[in-house]
Amino acid sequence: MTDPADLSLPEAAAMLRSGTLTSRALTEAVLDRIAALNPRLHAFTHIAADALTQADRADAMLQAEDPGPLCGLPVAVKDLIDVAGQPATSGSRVLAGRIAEADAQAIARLRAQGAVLIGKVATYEFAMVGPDLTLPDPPARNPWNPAHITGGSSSGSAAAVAGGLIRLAIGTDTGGSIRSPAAYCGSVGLKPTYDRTSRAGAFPLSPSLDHTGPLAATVEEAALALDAMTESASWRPASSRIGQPITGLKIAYARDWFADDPQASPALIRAMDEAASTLSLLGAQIALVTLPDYAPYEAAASIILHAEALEEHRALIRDHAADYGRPTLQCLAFGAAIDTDDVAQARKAQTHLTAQMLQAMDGHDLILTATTLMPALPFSAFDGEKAVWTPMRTIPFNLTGQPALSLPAGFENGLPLGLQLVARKGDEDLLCMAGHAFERATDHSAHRPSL
Amino acid sequence: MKSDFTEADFRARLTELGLTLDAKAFAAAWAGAQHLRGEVAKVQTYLTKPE
Repeated sequence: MTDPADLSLPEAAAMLRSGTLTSRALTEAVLDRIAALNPRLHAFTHIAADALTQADRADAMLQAEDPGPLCGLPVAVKDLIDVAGQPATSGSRVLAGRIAEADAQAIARLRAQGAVLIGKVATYEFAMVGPDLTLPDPPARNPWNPAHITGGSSSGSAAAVAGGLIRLAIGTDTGGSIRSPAAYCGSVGLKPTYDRTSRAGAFPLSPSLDHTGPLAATVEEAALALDAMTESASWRPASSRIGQPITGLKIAYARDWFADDPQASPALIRAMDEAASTLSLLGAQIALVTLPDYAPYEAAASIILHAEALEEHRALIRDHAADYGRPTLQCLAFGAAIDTDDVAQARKAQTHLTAQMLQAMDGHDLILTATTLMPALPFSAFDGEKAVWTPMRTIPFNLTGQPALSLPAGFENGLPLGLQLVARKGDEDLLCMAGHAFERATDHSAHRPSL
Repeated sequence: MKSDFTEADFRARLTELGLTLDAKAFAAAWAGAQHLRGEVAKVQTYLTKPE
């Protein structure tokens, strides 16, 4: 018999409704799995003392009503997002001992639908930079090779899902913080359209670029989670076209965005070309396109991010500078090099760049490009004083607000590689339809690390 | 902000924030600040000549 901890969310949901599984049994299985594997991965930073009570409540809800597909299913939450009664430190000494008084708005939606908020998972400090080996919580480790980083900042979310500790974790994404750890760890990461999900109750990094969204074992599970988190019924459900054929779907293959960069690994380029070929065999129309130059997107987003981050932390820095991790404080200090005129220029560029991206999508439904340009680096690469930046292609879609999905696309030296699909705002259904079709046609997502 | 943003300007901004960094941390922050000024220049170039 399958260990309940290995059931997909739809499988577990069906069993909960047929009476062949209870939320309590499922939650106990997940708690056992966490207890067995977390000492190696450091993905979870806190386990909810009331997890089984929540599960019992979900079992009772399922007897009385059906509040939604996530009822009774365990969910982990990045420690940047408030869950009532659970620690909420944003991975920092600055907020040590803080317990959230209320759920973040997106989490309140999940709780109302009967999800079991089983615990908190690691984050880079204030979602800013990492890994930092000097912080109280040890950094999460890559399930495929614990000597390697997970990427961040939703580091624990990605490690927990990819390591098989849980099927679903909620993260945040300001410049790629859902998608890049998903790519590095071999899970699915879905950054929704800006404002589709609430950011209220998540510690802000850069409010105009911040998004909350799911990391999950499969595209279908990510889509179901996003639908549960979505604020308004006016959005087309992300899961509504899962399983439909992708015949005729027009996909713009932005190969130059990664293949022309000398940092891109040859294995990544091969994996991306194979992905384009697979999508073509599935009936999609693939067109090689040249997207607008990447550099201005990264530049404008960096300026906005650093300016807003410094504003968010101004008061805390004044009173608690000594409590910050060194890399985070240094990174926040960068923002002192820019002023309001610089930000105004960056916002003006944002408007132009967003229009240009939409123009480049003319005649196409989706963009296909890489998430990161190489597999996860080893922790040893972060030993020195010098900042190490891992190249990725994610931040432009925080700037444009478009939804973007990262999913497994292959391996290099035993470490996962990720591809990224991008849609127009509100087209998460197309994104998930294509991602699911790709996932079903390949075995990249079926591989699991041997822990 | 003036285009020739200097190390002294940066130190002054950090002082305004009440932020004192040791020499190593300052060197790292200054390197990041210079990088960010480079990003500002890229945006200005882009706005002068949008593609």
